[in-house]
Amino acid sequence: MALWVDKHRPKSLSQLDYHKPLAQHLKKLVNSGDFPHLLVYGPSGAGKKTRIMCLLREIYGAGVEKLRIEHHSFNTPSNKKIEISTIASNYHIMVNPSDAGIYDRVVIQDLIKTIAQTNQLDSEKMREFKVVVLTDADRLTKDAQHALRRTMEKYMSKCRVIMCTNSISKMIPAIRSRCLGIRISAPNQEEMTSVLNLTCRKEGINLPPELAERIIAQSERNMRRALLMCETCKVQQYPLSPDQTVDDPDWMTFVKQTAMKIIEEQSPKRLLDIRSRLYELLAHCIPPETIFRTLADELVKHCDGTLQKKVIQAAANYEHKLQLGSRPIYYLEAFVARFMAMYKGFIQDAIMDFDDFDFDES
Amino acid sequence: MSSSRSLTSRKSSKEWGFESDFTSALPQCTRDRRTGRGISEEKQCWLIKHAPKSRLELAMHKKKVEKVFQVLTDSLTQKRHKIIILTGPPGVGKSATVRALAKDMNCSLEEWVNPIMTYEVGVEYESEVSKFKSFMLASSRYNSLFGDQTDQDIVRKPNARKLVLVEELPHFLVRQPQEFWDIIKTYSRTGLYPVILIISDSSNVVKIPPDYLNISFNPVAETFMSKVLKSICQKEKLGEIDVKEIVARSEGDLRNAILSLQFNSTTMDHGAVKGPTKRRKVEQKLTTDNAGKDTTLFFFHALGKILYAKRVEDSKMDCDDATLGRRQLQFVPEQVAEKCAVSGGMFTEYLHHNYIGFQNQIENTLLVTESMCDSDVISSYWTDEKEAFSRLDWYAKSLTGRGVVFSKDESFLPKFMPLCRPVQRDISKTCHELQEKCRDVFALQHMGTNSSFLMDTIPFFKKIGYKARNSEEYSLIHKMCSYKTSTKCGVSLNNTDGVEEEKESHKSSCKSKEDADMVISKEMEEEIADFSD
Amino acid sequence: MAENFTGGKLKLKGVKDGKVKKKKKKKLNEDVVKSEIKRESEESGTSTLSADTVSKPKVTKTKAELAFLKAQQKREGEKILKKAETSHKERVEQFNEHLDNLIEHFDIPKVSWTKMDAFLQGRSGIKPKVAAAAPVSTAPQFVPWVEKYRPRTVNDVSHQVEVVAVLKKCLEGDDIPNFLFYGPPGTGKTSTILALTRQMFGKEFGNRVLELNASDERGIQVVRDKIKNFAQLAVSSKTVNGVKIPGIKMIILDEADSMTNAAQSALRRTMEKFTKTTRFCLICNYVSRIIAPITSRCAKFRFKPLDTSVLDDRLHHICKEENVTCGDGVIEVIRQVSGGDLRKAITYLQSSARLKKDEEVTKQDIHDIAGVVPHTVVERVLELAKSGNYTKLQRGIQDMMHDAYSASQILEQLHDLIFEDSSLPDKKKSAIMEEIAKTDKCLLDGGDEYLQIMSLSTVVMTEYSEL
Repeated sequence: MALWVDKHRPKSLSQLDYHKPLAQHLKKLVNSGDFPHLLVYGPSGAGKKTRIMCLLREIYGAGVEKLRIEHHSFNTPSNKKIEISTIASNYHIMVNPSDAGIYDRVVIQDLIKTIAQTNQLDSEKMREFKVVVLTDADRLTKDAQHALRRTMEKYMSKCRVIMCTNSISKMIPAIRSRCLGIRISAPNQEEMTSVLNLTCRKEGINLPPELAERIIAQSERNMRRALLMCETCKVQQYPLSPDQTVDDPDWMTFVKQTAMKIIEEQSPKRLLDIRSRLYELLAHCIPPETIFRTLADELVKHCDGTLQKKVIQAAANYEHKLQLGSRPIYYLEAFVARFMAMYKGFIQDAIMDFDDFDFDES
Repeated sequence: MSSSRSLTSRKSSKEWGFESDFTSALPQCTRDRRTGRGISEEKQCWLIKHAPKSRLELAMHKKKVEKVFQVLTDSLTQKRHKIIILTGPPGVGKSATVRALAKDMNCSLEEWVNPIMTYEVGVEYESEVSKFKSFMLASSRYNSLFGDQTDQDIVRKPNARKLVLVEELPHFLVRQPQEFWDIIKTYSRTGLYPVILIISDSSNVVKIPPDYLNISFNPVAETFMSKVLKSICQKEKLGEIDVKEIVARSEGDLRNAILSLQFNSTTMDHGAVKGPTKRRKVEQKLTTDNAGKDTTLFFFHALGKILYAKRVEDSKMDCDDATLGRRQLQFVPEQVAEKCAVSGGMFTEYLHHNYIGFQNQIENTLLVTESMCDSDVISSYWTDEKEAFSRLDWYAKSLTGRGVVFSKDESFLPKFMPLCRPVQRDISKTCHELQEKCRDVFALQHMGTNSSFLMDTIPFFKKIGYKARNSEEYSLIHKMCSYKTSTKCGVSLNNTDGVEEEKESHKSSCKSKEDADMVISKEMEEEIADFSD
Repeated sequence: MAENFTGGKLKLKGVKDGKVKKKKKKKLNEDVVKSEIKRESEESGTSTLSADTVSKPKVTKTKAELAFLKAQQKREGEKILKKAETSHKERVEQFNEHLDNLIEHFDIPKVSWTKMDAFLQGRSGIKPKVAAAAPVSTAPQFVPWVEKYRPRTVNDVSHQVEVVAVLKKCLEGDDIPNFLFYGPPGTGKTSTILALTRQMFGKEFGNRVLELNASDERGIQVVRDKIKNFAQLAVSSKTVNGVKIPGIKMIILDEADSMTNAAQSALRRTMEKFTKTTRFCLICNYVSRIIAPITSRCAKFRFKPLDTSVLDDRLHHICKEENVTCGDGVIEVIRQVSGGDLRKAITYLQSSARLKKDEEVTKQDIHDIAGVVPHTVVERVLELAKSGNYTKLQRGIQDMMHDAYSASQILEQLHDLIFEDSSLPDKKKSAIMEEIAKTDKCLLDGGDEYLQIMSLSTVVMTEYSEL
């Protein structure tokens, strides 16, 4: 059973719905013959993976779409065996180096070396190089990035690297200078609307424009999420009505409920409760950065004035510390505790002001 | 058969010395192995020298002794309890009781000792299991040809009553427990004499089937212990010694207490008092630094100390500022932290999990949480130099300890609450496992970007009615899409079960997951049926 | 075997009663020997040979064998003669050459100039380049223009005057010191030293130069092993062809400021010890990161940032060679964006040219390639911060994040904007600058971009609102 996201994914550069000038450039790049290493970056759900697949299809033809799962095992210098599974076709291989944890350097070097050493079954039509796609490249350790830059140089003739990452600032400048950076920004409202309408037409469904608007607003310019939300709406109730409820992902609802609980009561008791909810989120593999962001945004909605600024500053502070530490629950809890203290003080001040005000009046 | 048995039992006294068999070792151990001459009385181990010879000398409650005695006589005469299991912490007198009672009852004691696996030429290899089996079989049927090794006082009678003692548990008990219990079961049906198993297993590795009689021993009470220690002191002519410290440190382990008494008394002068009139009434202080047991128990005491943060009454505030001033502590947090043999990270984890119960105001928790964050940052700093590492560790502990202590409001007195194990590691382990599973199961769909897949796509699976292709996918989706909110909203701090309830709700959520699994299987069958259609 | 043993004395084969007299060395009576041999030979029945000669084993050889033996002897003779001719020094030289040609001597494929040329020629074999030649254009092979247009001779590096003057003197035969080149990136440090060594060593470049840069292993162990081994090799002041070249070797350590202090300390001893045969050239960005003992052993050369005119000229030149059409002011933009770094400028030019193919390169393209945030966007952020409305600010920053601009880039541009804002008093500016510095550090540590930028903007908002 295929989701709409996968079913209606554009397969070639000409089928892309937005960022068309970029698609043109990419086509030219492919045809020019000298293809550099690429660094594709952009927010989640903007279409990076889609475009990489289209690009590969442009380079190698339809054979790229025959995917299979391969398992590789590598030996680290400390004699530990790492098993990685990759998705590959005859022309390219897709790997997520953060699967290997701290041994990603070894995995990448070995993999690229292996790829570079195997020759293509040569025919004139084929390219001489293979492509290695590294997904989640911002999770690479600095060690791996330094090693990668050397490896990229060395095996340039046989192997091209396409990196896919959310934020470019996590890549070291050396890698950025060796790659052509391709920025994929999130689609704007009109683009998203047109895509949604197109998809619904293909599915034979009538999408009321108000519902489309609400979906787009709630999806935070994330195309993937918007399509999934749309599909959920259809499953929940068809024919679609303009005032249908649009569901958030579960974890987001959970975080919003947590924020409500924090606003309701500020005490150590409540903090204990919140802690167990945070543990629940962490156990569902939601990254702590996302929890910070969503929680901060939610909490800010219930504050005003100077408190908002303080909240966001506290969130930034604790999130930064979280990157340096190793146990995320401490920082999440510390942030909640600080918010509680600030909010409590804020409420008490407001009440006192109110009382004073009354007193003055009378 | 019997020869091998007696060989093994005879080996006990010679090869293993006086480890288990006090009374039987008595004649041999008074001989110096090397020279063959008798070991002077001074050098003998007090455990042997002052071992209880009859049940009156046992350092435990009379009623307990009576009970055991009753059970043993019952089993011998009425053939009731064939298998008796004695459990309890080490050093409380389980085997001492058995031996003393055996002497009193005129029984001979047959003991199993773990054989050394030797591969001699010409001797066939016999596994431990079969050796044990043959021991049990033989001990129930045959009497020893060589007379009783236990005590030469007992007159050998052809139908002498016998007790079979298994104190040294065979090695295969841990790996193949089923076989062991099978052998015991067979014995219970066919054997003649009662078998006594002594399991002083503190880590609960061995699971004891409940059908056998289980007598559990408590740690030795302080009064008994001090009585015994004092009598030993008298016999050894050490004069009056303050044994309070040793008794406190040994925590119910009499063996340990006697050993530490002997060890520490070697540093003192022995009063070789000639004549009973001269008595040294000087209380000699023992150097009891080494007299303690291992420090794991100490860890919980340390945590408790820091969490309760008792301060010296009527001491001055150390600062004029009302919010910042505190009275003097009864202890130094760094010293307490150092005595625990745990790393800074672990220390902080435990404190973090348990500190909330001791807080009454959210403003104070700010201080604790801040210090814990900083402490975690320090502990996570990786450095190759060992010295720097240990120094940082010290700072981490100090930071957390002081943070907790500083933030506790003096006036707030929470009731007793048990400390719990932190769950942070379990959570991160679960998270990793889930991630890996998702990665493997949904490999082709996420095409590498696992993180966005987990966050964006999977939560919608359930809602869209994604048809799982196999049970793995189904259970995975189910796990990922269900969020359990804690059943209790607002854990009351005055409630003594406060923190335990949290544990229970965790447990209950686990149970409900199990139920959910049951439901899953039914649903899953339906789904797969749908799919195949 | 045991069964076959028969006891008794040892007997000579063929001798019946075997009375072999033990020849006493003192009294070796020749006659006695001769007579004995005669007797033996008579007894054994072999043909009697002359009494002078000791019994030789009779060898029957074929003609071919004999011829082979002859040739072999001749060859051996020649070899011995040859060896006898060469002096010890020459022998050592030959040995060194042999070692140098061993592949295992250098673990990493160093960027030798000869191989670089092969790269540029596109796998057409190693062609030694002697003089500065016009850059060769290559078709489909991916060639970085940075390498293509690197200056080949010291003269080409025209805009670093003092350095070039000194280096020219070195080429003319003066003694060469240890070099320490420092300065901002993209100013020609690596190019200069490569050009220099190429000119100095010519063909012998590969043997005489060891290059290590930051992505190679340069820990203290490598310093001890590899560098030391290379430094210890002896070299002559003549090539095989008799051309005179300096009798020294060169070790180039690129990006030397990322070497650990321990490695640098180990290096200084090596530098001292082998000063007769080896020269070091360290290249770094910040001289403060090199330890003092090393800087005192080297001649420091500061590479100044390039003049605007120089940059522009170079870029124009490349555009012409590569047939790239640039729009108006594009070169200026490139210059601005690269910040005086020629390497970056050329790379941007190449990337945008490749992307646009036959079309004109516009300013927007350069901005896209360089990841520069459009000025309007950053201005908008500042406006929102000034407005004092948190919700609007949040919206704005979220949109900016969705456009995937790099947060550190935004930070830089915001910094420039605030710096130039005249409406803000200095005290407030300094408060904001401090926040910017902290935010940059947090981003570097891996903090979440959205939260960090939001936090910074709220600080800016506070400062502006208190005006």
